[in-house]
Amino acid sequence: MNAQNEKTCKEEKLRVINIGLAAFYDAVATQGAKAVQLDWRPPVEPDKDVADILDDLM
Amino acid sequence: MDIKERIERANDAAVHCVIDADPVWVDILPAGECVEGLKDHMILHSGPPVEFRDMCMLHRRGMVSGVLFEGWAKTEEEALKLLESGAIEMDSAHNHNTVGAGTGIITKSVAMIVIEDRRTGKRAATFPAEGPFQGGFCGWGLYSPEIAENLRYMREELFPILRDVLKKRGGLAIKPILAEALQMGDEHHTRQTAADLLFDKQILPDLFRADYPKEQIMKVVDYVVQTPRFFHCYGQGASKAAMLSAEGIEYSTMVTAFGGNAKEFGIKVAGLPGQWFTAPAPMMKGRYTSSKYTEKDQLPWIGDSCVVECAGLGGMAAAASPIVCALRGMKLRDAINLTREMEQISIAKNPNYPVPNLDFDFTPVGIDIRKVLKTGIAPEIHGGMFNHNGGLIGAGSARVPMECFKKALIAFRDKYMS
Repeated sequence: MNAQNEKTCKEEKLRVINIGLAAFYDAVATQGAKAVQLDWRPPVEPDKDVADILDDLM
Repeated sequence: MDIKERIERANDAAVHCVIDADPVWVDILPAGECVEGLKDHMILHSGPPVEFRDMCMLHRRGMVSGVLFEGWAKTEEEALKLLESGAIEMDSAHNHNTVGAGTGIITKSVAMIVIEDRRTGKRAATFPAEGPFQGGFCGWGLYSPEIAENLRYMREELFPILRDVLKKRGGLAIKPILAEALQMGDEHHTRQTAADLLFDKQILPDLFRADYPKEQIMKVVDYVVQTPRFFHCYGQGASKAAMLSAEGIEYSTMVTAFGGNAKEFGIKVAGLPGQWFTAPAPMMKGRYTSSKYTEKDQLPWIGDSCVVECAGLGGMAAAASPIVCALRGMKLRDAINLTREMEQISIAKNPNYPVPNLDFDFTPVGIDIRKVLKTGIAPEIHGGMFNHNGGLIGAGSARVPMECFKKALIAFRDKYMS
């Protein structure tokens, strides 16, 4: 962490957007910081043969 | 009409086989009289079909138990010889109008709970828990003179009274119990605590009014009340009856069966009747009954009780039962998120099943193989963990292998797009 970031963390209230494991959101939120959990996961890329069939069926 | 529209219409019809189902407990009969296609010298088992030589120890033991229970052999050695000779026919329970929870051992003399979907007339049969022996013969594949005597006692002494009571009241509707219990903390796979009480509330007054000696009545009452998760077979029966109504709907991509035999896990699809799509059986994540157990003690998935997930219960309705999710270290929010995740692979929501934890939004229902593959989200199935010796060592959940859905999709293309 550089000096500027450290200063920001100490002096400003944290506002956190957590992506992924909800336990990290819990850890922040239980300490009173403003936090939101973003429901996101990497997009799935099905095998090409499956993707081709799905294109025809959906 | 293009194929996309045909699929949408077919799936709408298929999912309404679940949403509009009217499952009613109508009878108790020996399996030989209510399981279609169950012949003499035939034993059914859970999961996709598997040869005797390839079965896991639990299924092999169950087969031996089945032969002994029916009196087709006198000793284990004789039973084994008979099974290896090919004289005993074996088949997947899901290939008939039944399901096999756990090992799912079903022979002609086992007493079965019969559930009829009054909307379509389809009947499914499931075996009840065996009182003090719990999974016993059918669910755990065990056999002893005591277990055989208990099965006889259930069939010849307990159930005639229950059957008489049932006939007098004209059946027992299952859907209201499923719906109310979902609002009381059950998800109907791992937990039936509320459903058991609601069931008791329905049946006990009729039992007390029945014209039998008090001692006999109290034996039935004790059996019903003291058997843990007594209602489980009713939830499975209602789910299977709905799946039977949906099976064979042309162009439907809705899943109609899940089941594992500890070697393979298989799924069936409404528009592809009679076919299994399999992959190696998954392991479960959850909580063990003792810290001495680890994953190496765990048998891969065995059992068909995940038919309830096909009907939008169990893992699909996780939000209804944070208590079950807490078993796996999850919080209420995780349970809600899980059901929201399952929405993404489902055809519809079931307006019969509002859930308080979802702000009375409805549970998702009807798993669409296309959505599973498109989203990469595998269905969550709840269940119990067996060890390799057949003991119950915990409870938790697994995800259905994606390979099953991929194989089903390719078969769907071959059938409908060639």
